[in-house]
Amino acid sequence: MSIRVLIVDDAPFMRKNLAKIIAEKGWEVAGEAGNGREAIEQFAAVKPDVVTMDITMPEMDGIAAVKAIVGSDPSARVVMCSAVGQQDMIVEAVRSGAKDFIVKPFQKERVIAAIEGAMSK
Amino acid sequence: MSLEFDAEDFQAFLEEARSHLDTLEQGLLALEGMVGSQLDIELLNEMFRGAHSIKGAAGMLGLKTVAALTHQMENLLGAVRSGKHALNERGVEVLFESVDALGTLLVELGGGTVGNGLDITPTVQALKEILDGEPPAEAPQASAPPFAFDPAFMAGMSPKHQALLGRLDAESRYLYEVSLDLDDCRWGDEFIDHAVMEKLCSLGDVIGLLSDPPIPPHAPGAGPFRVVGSALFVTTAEPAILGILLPFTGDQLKVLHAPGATPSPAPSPAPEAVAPPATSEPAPAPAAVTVPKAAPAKDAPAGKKPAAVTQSIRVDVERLDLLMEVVGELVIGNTRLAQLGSELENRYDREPLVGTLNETIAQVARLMSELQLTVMRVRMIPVERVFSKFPRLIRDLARSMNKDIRLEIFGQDTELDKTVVEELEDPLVHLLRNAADHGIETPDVREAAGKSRTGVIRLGAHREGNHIVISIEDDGGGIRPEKILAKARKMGIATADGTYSDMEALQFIFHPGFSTAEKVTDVSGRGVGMDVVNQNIRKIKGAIQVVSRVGEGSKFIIKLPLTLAITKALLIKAGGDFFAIPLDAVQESIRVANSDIKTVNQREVIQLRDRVVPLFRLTQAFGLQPLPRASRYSPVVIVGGQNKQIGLVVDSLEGEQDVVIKSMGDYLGEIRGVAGATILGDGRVALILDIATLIDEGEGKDRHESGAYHAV
Repeated sequence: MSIRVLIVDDAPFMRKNLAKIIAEKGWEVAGEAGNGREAIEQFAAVKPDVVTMDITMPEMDGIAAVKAIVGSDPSARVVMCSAVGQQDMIVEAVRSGAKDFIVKPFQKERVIAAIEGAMSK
Repeated sequence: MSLEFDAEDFQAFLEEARSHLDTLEQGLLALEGMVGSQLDIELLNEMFRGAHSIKGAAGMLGLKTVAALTHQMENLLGAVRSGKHALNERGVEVLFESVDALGTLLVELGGGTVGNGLDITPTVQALKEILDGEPPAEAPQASAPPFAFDPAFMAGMSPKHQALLGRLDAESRYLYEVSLDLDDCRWGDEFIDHAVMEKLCSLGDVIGLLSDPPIPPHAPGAGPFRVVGSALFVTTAEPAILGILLPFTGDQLKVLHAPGATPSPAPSPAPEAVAPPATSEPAPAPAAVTVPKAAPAKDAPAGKKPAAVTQSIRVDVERLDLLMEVVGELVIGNTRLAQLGSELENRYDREPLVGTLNETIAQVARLMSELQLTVMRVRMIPVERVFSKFPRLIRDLARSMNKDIRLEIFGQDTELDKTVVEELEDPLVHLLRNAADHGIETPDVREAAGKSRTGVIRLGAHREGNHIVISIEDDGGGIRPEKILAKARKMGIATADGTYSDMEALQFIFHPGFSTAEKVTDVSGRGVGMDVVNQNIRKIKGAIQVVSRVGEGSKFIIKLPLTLAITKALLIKAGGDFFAIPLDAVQESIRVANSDIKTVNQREVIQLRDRVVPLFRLTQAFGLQPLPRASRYSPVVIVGGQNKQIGLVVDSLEGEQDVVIKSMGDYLGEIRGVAGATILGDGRVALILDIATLIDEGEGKDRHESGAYHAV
């Protein structure tokens, strides 16, 4: 089954690598966004199965974006992309409706496991 | 690492990292001025994100040095941002060091090495010390844990973890005891590489992990091991959250303490659980660096202007050149089309199709000029690209020389062709170094001279006609013309008996091999003198001049052509040939009665309002046959800038047109007074006049050298 993923990260490098992992798995990159505001717009526009959401981004961070996205669509599946040192933020994101999180630097298997996991949650 | 990266990924990383590095450096320069007062939160956010992004990408690429360094930078910036750490001068200094180290690492990486050349340990250590050295501004006072642990267990715990246990309530954290049975664990860089451990360590702090069989010593990459045992786990996450995130069954997770709950009886993390793993603690370091409660998005009021982050792609300049050329040809083609259109209109004025054709041609022409403008703009970049590097340069120079120097920059939005901007960097660095080293005096000397202790260097750019003028001005000691002249005479580049104005004498500093530094300092005066600056400026078809007043300072003025491949021009005819005058240089065109042309000092001049303007006959300059003139009037085009003007005597004005500048080709070489050639709509060739040179000629400069012009 192909999963349609919306990638949200302000760093093009990160987006590219996530896109690579998703494409190699045979899934589809439904869209990309560089900040929380774009993520909300893209989410509404492309209706992805899963969103990978960076936390630290300009303009609107990932936490605020999760709140808005899950607020508008409680069935939204969001996987946070966090880095070491963002403990409390992950907790807040999950409280706000994120399904799971992955830790940068990513390992391919964990990205895949998290996306698959989010689909079944 | 299971991901694979190619050279392209790597380049992408380097480019991103460099741009974040710029953000960090610019930010630091700004922050330095805010130390001790209110810090700009948005700026800190941007810097934090910069460090954070580099760290993330470096981690993916396995660039451990870069990741370790940026991790610490991020920690410090994060603590400053959240108000947990008050930034002082030492902190700024160490951050500057870190930025430099990071810059070096990136350069090394760009050169293809693995980035292990530079030892960043001292820098990382210094960053850590800054963060750990001072107690957090408003740290919740660590108190005894809300329950009693076995003293031996507590004694074996790191002070950080002890403190963490003491602040459970103050920081609203839960304390859990987790039972683990994890297969196929390996050592990662910081903690055990296993999906569950990764999650635990990302959500909180794992304290006193115990396992039977024991956990092997920390050795990244070594073979797999199994963890069967338990650990204390401190996190803000409530059980429900952990239930979502961790594949635990209910009895694997035991709440020992919930925030705000009454102290529970002493738990019993197995008494033999004394020492954390001997070699390296499994928990990641940043326990003290919890991310601030106030996330950036909350700080920023809605509708606040987003930080200016320019998105860009890199394009080969050659492709841009090609694009420019094609657009140029297109413009010419369209001009030709317009001419044919109007010819058709003359011939078939009752044919409605001709009208439609001409409307379409006019519309295409409008689009074409828009396209042309856009393409031109693509090649232009603001001088800020180089100017932004200088505050740091001046800051460091001032420090190393114990001077107080303030750099004032203006006009950084002025745009120039990319190549010109890039070529500008070296000469500007040299001029600024000179200004800081030889120009600005030490504070004491300045005070004695009745000046403020802080010297000022002003770096500016602005557009003047078809030129960009860049000036570097200091309020230092100035240059002594007699000293320059004496040296020039000694070197034989000035004649012993010639008289030179101060202004003329000063220009000798641009002569090859000229250097007046009395002593060789670390900063400048190492024999690479102003002649190199001069050469570099000339290479980009610019000119440099210096003015100076002893005791008051010096000003270097660099004049650069816009060197655009397409330009608007006034077409004129002289001696039956077409010439194009770049429109930027045209001030006005007038009709002069032949009787009003006077001869002064063997030169033709006219009176134009309150000025005397020298005249210049193109027919004479280019050896053309003047047309027999029946009229008593001659059209004259006044060209030049604010201070210097000349009048070009022409046969007729032929209108305004876009022209594509083509070089004259190698076989014709440089022709004085001609900037290039262009092809007109009907296929004829017109020479584009180089007004700056003509003005020099018109002033009589080089008249003898060129020999082509005769005084009338």
